[in-house]
Amino acid sequence: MSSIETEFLGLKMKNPTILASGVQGVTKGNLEEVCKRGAGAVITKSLTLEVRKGHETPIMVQTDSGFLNAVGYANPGIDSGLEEFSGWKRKEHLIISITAKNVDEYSILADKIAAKLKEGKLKCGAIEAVLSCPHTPEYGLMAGQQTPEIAEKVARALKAKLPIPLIMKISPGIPGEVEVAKAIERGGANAIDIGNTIGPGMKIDIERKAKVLGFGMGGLSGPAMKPIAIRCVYDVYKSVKIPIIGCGGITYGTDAIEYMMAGASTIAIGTAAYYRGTDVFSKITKEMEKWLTEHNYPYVKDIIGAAHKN
Amino acid sequence: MELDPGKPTFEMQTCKVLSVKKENYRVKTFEIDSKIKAKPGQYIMVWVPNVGERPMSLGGTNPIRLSIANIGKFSNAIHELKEGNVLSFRGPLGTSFKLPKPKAETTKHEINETQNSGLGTILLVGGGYGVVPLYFLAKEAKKIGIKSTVIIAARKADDIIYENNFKELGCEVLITTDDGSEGFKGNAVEGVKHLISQGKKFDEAYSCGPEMMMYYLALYCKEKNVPCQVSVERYMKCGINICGACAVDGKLCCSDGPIFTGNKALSFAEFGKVQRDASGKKIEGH
Ligand SMILES: Cc1cc2nc3c(=O)[nH]c(=O)nc-3n(C[C@H](O)[C@H](O)[C@H](O)COP(=O)(O)OP(=O)(O)OC[C@H]3O[C@@H](n4cnc5c(N)ncnc54)[C@H](O)[C@@H]3O)c2cc1C
Ligand SMILES: Cc1cc2nc3c(=O)[nH]c(=O)nc-3n(C[C@H](O)[C@H](O)[C@H](O)COP(=O)(O)O)c2cc1C
Repeated sequence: MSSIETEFLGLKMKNPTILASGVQGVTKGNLEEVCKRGAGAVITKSLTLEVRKGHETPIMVQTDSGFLNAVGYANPGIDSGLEEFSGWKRKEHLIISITAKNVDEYSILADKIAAKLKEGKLKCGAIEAVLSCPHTPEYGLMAGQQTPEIAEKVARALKAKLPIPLIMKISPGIPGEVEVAKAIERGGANAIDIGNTIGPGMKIDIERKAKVLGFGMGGLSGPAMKPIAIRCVYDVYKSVKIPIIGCGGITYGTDAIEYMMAGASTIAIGTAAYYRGTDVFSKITKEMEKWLTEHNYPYVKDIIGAAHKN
Repeated sequence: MELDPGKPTFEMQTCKVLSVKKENYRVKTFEIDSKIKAKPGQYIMVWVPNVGERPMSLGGTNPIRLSIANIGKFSNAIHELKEGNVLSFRGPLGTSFKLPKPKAETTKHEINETQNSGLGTILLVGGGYGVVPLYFLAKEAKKIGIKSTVIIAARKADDIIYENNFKELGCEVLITTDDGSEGFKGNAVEGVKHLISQGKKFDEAYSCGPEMMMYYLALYCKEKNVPCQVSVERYMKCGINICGACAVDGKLCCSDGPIFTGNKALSFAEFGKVQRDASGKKIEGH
């Protein structure tokens, strides 16, 4: 049997699957449940400085081979959020996702996290900062944050304050993504998550002659975005040395293998928790193990970047 | 490689409103021309373009039956609907109430002898619009020969809905009001104790309504060793196991629930204690 154990950013993981941010993950209890159902690590719902109710419902709508979502960063704010996620006891690592309107806000978030870490209340393996939400005014793509300049500034500001690894998350398919990835590396971040949803896209209900999403448009997730994210992982892998989390449409073990061959070290899963239930983490892990065994790879890490060698 | 066969549909349907009936000062019942296959306890997500989408329990299918309390922006918009208008929704979603299995011959006999009815009797305890899914359950129970005794719990007389609907099905109905303005004066659980003190026996209890009512009912049923099922409501957005808004401990009410056994619900540290608003922020002391 091939070994599926993974090491990522110095963190030991029982397998390379990670819960993607914003998919479940609003409460500690739920993150624990996702670990029990197979995830190797979990990322929380993104936390912002202020409390956000998020966009009006519908916040999700199905499209061909995927979903549009416009949650709009609903979250209880950094203070309640850090309270919620304190006292993590499981061996799977907790990664806290944060997002902000500007570098100053990012600094405040980092101070709050650093303070909690120092008090010993918060036990988390890494922080993920998101530059790339496509459907929330003042944040991410709608604020034009996915540029080399901003990415580098945010990375530097966070690294100056955080004593734990930093992951930065981008949306694939945006012009200049390789330059952004290089800037993230220059800024001192330890990994890149590729990626966030893409778009925004729109769904119109023809019976009602109306946009379905409460916000009108939303980010595309699921299998529909997979080829774009895989291409982006492939390009970024060639250009940076820091490891990559591959994310977007991963539904089966073979999708995960494909991302890893493009250059991802670990993979994050979101929408597939709809297609295959929350047990999707253990299902994908088993499928990966089976595939690796059948193809005589002793370790899962042996396939990382394999597509670059041919 | 199979997708989860249990995954709920996301197809939006738009159907005609067949009838609108006023139940009381704030609840209206709508019949919708649609033939979805659903089980009691499941809900649908009703969508009003440019207003929002909210979870609503099914009071029946074919036609779909909804009873909606007018309490805010979305329910206001729903209350504007007239016969002949259209309503959009997706579903059914979530888990359902499970009726007791028909008894083996011997037990059936014993039950007959103790003057209990036929296959058995179940107890339905509803508060507010919680009576809606219980009405659907009573109809399904009747089809397989199970009788229902219903407690409709209300704060005051004019909050009572569905009394005649249940009576028309042949259910025994006990009304309880907090202020004694109608029926038994007291809360729902006191009503249950009252029935038990009269020697009534139930195979299983089912409840939907205010969480404290279900909490104390679940505790009482546990003490009395009566199996029970409750409908746990949380702020629901996506309805399909993704957005995480409706977490209760580790589970998501939208898809792992809303129906849980009483004992499962009691095992949640948050049941009867903590809910969350649209942001995920805790609201304690419910
Ligand atoms: C599984 C389930 C079944 C339900 N069945 C019925 C029913 O049969 N009849 C009925 O009248 N109501 C039902 N509700 C409650 C209903 O969804 C909301 O109370 C209602 O839509 C409020 O919307 P509003 O815009 O009118 O009011 P708002 O002003 O938006 O909200 C008023 C209150 O309603 C609750 N609420 C609002 N949105 C939601 C939401 N998305 N999920 C859960 N609670 C919410 C909150 O407690 C809020 O404080 C059900 C809720 C759930 C979770
Ligand atoms: C409902 C929903 C909410 C999301 N919320 C966040 C979020 O708060 N922060 C974030 O970085 N990504 C968020 N995402 C993006 C996911 O983390 C992930 O990058 C994306 O969905 C692609 O992966 P998937 O196809 O496996 O879902 C969200 C996605 C969905 C579907």
